Amino acid sequence: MSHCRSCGADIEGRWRVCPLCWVPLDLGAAVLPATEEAYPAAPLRFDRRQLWAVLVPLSVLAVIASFAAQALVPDLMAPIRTVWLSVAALWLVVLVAAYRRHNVGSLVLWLVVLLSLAAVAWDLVTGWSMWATTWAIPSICTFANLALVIVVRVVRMEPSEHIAKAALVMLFGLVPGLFVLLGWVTVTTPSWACVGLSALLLAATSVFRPRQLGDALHRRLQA
Amino acid sequence: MTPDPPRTSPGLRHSSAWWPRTPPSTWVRLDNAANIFLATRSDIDTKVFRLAAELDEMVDPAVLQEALDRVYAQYPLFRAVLRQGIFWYYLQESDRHPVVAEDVAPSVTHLYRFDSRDLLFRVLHRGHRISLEVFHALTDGTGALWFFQDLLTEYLGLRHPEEFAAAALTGRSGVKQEFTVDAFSQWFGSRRGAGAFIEEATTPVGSTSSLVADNAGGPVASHEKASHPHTRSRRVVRVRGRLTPDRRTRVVEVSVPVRPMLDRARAEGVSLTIYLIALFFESLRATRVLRREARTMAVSVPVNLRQFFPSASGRNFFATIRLMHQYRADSGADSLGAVCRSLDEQFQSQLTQDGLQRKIRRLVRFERHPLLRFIPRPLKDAVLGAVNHLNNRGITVAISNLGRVALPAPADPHVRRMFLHVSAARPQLSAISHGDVLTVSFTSPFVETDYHAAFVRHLTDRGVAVRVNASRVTAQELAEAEGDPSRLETCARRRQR
Repeated sequence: MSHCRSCGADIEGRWRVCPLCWVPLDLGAAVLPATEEAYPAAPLRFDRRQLWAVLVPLSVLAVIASFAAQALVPDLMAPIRTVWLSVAALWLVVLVAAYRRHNVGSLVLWLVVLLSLAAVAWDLVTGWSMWATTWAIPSICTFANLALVIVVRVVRMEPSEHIAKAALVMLFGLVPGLFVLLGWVTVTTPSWACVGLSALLLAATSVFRPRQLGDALHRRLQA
Repeated sequence: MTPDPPRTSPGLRHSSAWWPRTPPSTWVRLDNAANIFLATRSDIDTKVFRLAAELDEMVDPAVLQEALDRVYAQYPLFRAVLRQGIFWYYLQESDRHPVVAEDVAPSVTHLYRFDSRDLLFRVLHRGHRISLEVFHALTDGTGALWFFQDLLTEYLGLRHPEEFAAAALTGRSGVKQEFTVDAFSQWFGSRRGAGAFIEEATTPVGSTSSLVADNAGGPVASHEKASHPHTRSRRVVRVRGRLTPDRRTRVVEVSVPVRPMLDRARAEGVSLTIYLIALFFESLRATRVLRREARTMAVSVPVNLRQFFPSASGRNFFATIRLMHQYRADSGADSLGAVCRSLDEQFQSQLTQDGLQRKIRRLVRFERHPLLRFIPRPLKDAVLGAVNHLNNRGITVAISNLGRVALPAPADPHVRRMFLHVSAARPQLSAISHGDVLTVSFTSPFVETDYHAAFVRHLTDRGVAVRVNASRVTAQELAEAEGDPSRLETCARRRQR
């Protein structure tokens, strides 16, 4: 046990500075106890500041870029509103993942499916301008995949908990490729971007986490 | 298609054959105090509390599991899982079985998830410590302490059978905490019960009983109004700070010998709890700048109702009272002794038969109001949450003192210290004593440890020997634990500047 000259307390554990006064401790024989501390040094689940450092610039950039695009090219309402919706979805996913932490893969999958269906319904009601297939669904899938990347990088999560659903989200991200092949799009770029990102993530997952992906799929898909 | 194999969640296993299976339909409405916990739990304040005991030897997980199996059989209440009804939450008896686990997460992390049917407590071990963490909707500090004392006694009995052979411990079998008994309904469900108040009951604070806790170990169940006529809540000091990076609770344990603390409290003519509150206020005053318009500090103190309305129910049965002190510039009224006496007067005046009964009847009436009953649960949660948020603005700190705890004779010498941690949205002090050691655990959602240091300095300046143990909450502190001290020293230098 070491001693703090500032507060006069004996400090338990392996602290080198007093956890109350933040001054260096008298370490006595200069040997810290070899035994573990009473509290586990559980790694941070996430770091709020790190989270903001990633999310805020990304969102601000997306919104600024959407304004810039609108200024440069007129009649861009369809892509612009899609970008904003997507940024909102991204925040939703990452915040829920950070603070709730459970069933994140499931949440993202539901979000993608429901938002996509809503976009199709909206488009059908307003006279089918192919906004849903050209802009909405590819953007939703792209941003959902981006959100998953952020979640996995920033929030500590058991991979087997979310990897199967995440793989389904990535597979879903390949669907816009079908839209292009079927001619359901007016502009092909969003779909190709989505397909490209999803394929990249799928490839990365199967290269870097083959065992967890295999286990998860085996467990989920057993008949 | 083959049938699915039985699935088990981590930390749980299904009951074995000797376990008396109960019909899965047994359920009971949540008690009066517990509803507020569900409405007000948040990412910061998990509404989980922890009882921990430090033994004189390393904990053996296999023996602990066996002890848990035996004690669990005696506490049907602890089989409960929490479910959501349309109008209220309810506890449902489950056939899940608890499994002891190594303590690897920060103290008082979340126990209840709305989408799970996990048990509402966990038993953990690490080094010399055994810990019991409980979701507050299940039981209060007293109910949990009964379970924990039995668990420790059973564990030590299994570890040291030779010492226990001579001491025939009675009451070690049979059901102890029934599932369905709710003391609030028992005492306040009808018009009866008004005359049975025990006038001679020891005041909760400073109780020296081996079993009776002197309060519920609870965060604030605060829908009561401010009791002080002269102070509006907007003037109350509120402690702010930098939230921990992943919102874990900062725990600082301060261990001191009981005797000098009791002597100091007696010298002021007050109980130990009141003395600790006054010292807590003083530490905040010494470290935080009080704004001119907010110079009143208020503390929420839960009171164990079992000593006034006897009940063997393990479910929540406590009420909270609020004490406060208004600091003025440089007057003698702000000395530690004066604050002690002012708090003590308020405490005594609020702990009366009429006061407590009125308070609880109001809460029960509110809960059972015919119109309010049929408001959907999510809406109730929102309303209770908002009411609680407003009430929190009138509270500076919270305190829980479980009093002195003793185990049966052969087990007692094996316990060195006991600890109580309570999750907190604001600074909280939780005290418990065992043998001649009093432990005061500060919990808060903030990184700062300034008022903790002031509290410790106040004691060490007066010759009290203090030991401090703190949990690590920032990336730098965690890096030091992993053998990279440079980051923490840099951080410490920055703080000093």
